[in-house]
Amino acid sequence: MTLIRIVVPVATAMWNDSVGSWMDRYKDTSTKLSVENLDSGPRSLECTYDETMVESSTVEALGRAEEAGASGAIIYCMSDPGLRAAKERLSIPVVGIGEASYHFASLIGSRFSVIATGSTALAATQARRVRDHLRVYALDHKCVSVRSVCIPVLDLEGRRDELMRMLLLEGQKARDEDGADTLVLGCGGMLGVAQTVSKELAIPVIDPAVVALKLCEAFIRLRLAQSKRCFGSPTEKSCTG
Amino acid sequence: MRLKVIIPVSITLWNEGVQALLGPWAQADTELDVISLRTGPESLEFSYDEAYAQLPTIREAERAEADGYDGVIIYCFADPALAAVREKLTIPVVGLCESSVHVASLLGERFSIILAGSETEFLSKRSVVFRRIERLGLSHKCASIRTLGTPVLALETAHEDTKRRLLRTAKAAVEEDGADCVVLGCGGILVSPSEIQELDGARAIIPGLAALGMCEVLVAARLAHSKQLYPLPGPKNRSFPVPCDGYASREN
Repeated sequence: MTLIRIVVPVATAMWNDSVGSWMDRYKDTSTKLSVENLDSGPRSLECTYDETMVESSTVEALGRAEEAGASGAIIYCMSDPGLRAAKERLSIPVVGIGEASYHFASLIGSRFSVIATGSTALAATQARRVRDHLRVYALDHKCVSVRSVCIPVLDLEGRRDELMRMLLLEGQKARDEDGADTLVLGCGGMLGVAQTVSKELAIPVIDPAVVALKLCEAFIRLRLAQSKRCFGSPTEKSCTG
Repeated sequence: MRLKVIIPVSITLWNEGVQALLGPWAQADTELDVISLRTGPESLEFSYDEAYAQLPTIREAERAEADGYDGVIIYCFADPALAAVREKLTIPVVGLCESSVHVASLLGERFSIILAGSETEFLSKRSVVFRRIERLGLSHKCASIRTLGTPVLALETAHEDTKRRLLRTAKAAVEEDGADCVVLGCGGILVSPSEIQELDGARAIIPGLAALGMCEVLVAARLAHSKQLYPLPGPKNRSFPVPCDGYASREN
């Protein structure tokens, strides 16, 4: 059995079951998944402030996963909090659902649009964050737009019909007005909607949960992980507090 | 899933080696069929060779989709006919160069590519490869492009020498050029992950395996290249006056 640990970097267990069962549909038969969330911190990550707050506990949770014998780890948030620190800390492959999604969008298309979540008031902040992350991955030149369904993350589950309606509306605008050839779902909470949007709009839609899981499995099978040449393991020293 | 691996050369020199390299690393439910072309160049070292390989590669890829395959791997670092095949097919199609540099970019920050081919071909090959990764938008992550100095057709007969040169060149890429990932820039360099493990912390990316991994992810995730970007070519007469490529002419 190959164990993959998924860390949902928020202080709520509300996503654990749905993420686990969605990924179960796509996993290899030899893969065993375990999903956990954080004990403390924000309940959703909708700005850089939230994101920064969870970084150290996310890395700690991932470190424990490796010590518990996991063969791979996934950070389950599109902002990939703590991803680069975790790549240093761990030797097993660490996959961020954001980084994985943007690379697959670049592989199957050349101009992608990200459809984010969050309140209308934070839409511009979400767009700035997505571009911040893309600059780190050096894929920002492939992103033609960042749009939003304007639904706060914690409301996604309760407003499924509106989510689908907004995804179709914004996805169509991304395709027709922004010239996107590929769409990326900009939040891990948009589970089980990618295929429908893809079919309706005749455009590939990246489902972050699925590509991150399959990429992590591929890395494990091919015995690949982050290069320790550039993600060197932190040296032993005491960290107080 | 069933994947077709097309080696775009007209000799069968690599068929068994490629099957042996990829087979053990495929998903348990993946069935791989490796073929080469009936006509075309024996190896691809020039843009001229690439042009000759493209049409038969397109024909084999079309046949793969018609035969019900779930994905196609064009097994050459030049990614010949990749865009054309993506237009014609709806199943995912991946090339070695593109897959490898994406995997290298996911695992590190600066990759080097090690090409095969003689020294005299190096300048032209380097510029062709660099232009490709520029088009992919990942050239700023390229630390260097080096060559083994071994002609492609001599790689297998001089296998031990190839391995020695590979390790030496990879070490230089890591130590002198600052690479954190080393991409093997030719599908004919048939080494397995166990033969090139220790690179002082840097990762060796074997292009056939990178392409296999990416193709399997795409099929499993039910993704294929965007038809907005690669629309299906409309019907019109595309036949040749003489069937020059050994493949039947078609009219659609």
